[in-house]
Amino acid sequence: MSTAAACLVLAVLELDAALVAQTLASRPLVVGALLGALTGETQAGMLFGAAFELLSLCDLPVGGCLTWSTPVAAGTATVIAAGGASIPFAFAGGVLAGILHTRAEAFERGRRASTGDELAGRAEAGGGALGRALAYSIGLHAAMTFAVAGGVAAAVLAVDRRWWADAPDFLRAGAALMAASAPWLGLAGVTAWGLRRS
Amino acid sequence: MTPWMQARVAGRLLLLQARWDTSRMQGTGFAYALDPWLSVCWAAEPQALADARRRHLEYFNTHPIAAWLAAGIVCRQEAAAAALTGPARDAAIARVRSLKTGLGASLAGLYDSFFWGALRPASALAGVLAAQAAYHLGSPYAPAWAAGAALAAYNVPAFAARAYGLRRGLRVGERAVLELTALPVQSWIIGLRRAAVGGALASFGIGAGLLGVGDRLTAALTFAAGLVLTWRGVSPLAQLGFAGLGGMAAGLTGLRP
Repeated sequence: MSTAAACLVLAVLELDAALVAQTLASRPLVVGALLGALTGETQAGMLFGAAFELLSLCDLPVGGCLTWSTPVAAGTATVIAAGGASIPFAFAGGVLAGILHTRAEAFERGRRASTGDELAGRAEAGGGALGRALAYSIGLHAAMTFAVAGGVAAAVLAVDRRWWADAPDFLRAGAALMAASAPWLGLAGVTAWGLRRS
Repeated sequence: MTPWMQARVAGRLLLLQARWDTSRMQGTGFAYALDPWLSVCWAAEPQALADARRRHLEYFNTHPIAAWLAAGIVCRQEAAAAALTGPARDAAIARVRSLKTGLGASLAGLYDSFFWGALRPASALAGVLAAQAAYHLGSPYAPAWAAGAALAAYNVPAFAARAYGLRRGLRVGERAVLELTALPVQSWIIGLRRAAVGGALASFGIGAGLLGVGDRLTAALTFAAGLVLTWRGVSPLAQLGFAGLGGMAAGLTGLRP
């Protein structure tokens, strides 16, 4: 599967995170497993999915709280790994995509609020204004996810091919330790959080 | 409400947050979900229908699953208000407004704690453990097991709660909330959180068991550091940043080239 097609699948799956249904089909574990299977990077997909899933379990999506998009992080990391990048570098790319996606989503939510009164005025008369507004919002969000995941994947893969192999050792050591420690930090986070609250 | 109308409202409730924004939050999605029913209730009075749409476009926010119960109760009350006239109708409409706001906040606390704070972590750990078990058994379908276990563990109770909430809200109105508070939800939350902690420790043991002695020590130290940092309120993203910086420092000093 091509990078663009994988990013398209990610954009559709990610809609479930907030906009459509919330069945948790967008959870990193599912996104990583599915994209890993589709791109032929099954192990990398599972690794990224499990790591980002565990890291995100203590972030409650309450009251519109936005921290970082771990579904996008897991999906983008898998796509980058499928493009030939090393696991640590793909993981770092995933983290970057997750942070950027959240910034874009915060902007998107603010923009929706600024047009809310005008929409409410049209919706009072009925006639499908609300349905069209919701469809537009869903389409725009999917396009934004596609752009962020695709942009980060393309940029990271370009850096990987031209520069990463010659990067200073300390940078590669930093990326390696970050990726290697992620599952353990995630498990520790869930344990600490569960013990504190139960 | 006919089964077809219930299905229409239910289908639209899946889009509750499709236009979530910082001022109305779920208000637009909630109005969209209720619209078919409002059109039936207020069919004979176009101005009253426009007013009904306006009041549901206002601020509303709750847990996405709790919204189904809230929608059931509100639909029942809108039908009751439409059947009244004069001051009695005005009072019923004012009650719909205040009830909706109160319901949103009170249900959110309970549903957030159970679905986000207990069932979501427990179902994720079920998925991770299923993947580890499939890997140990040599199954080539570890990703499918992981995704299937995590999705089933969350969605079977979640969709049951959605369907039951909508139906019960329609049938008994506000009494459904009282019935809900009589359930031993707190003990379920504690049980699920303990299961999540047990799952995390088991997953750590299984994962670390696959490593060599040196890497096992590194994993244990990282796990211990993660416990301390989480207890001190450091976010997972910041912890990853610290790990990256630590790796770079180690690389510069030659400890971990």
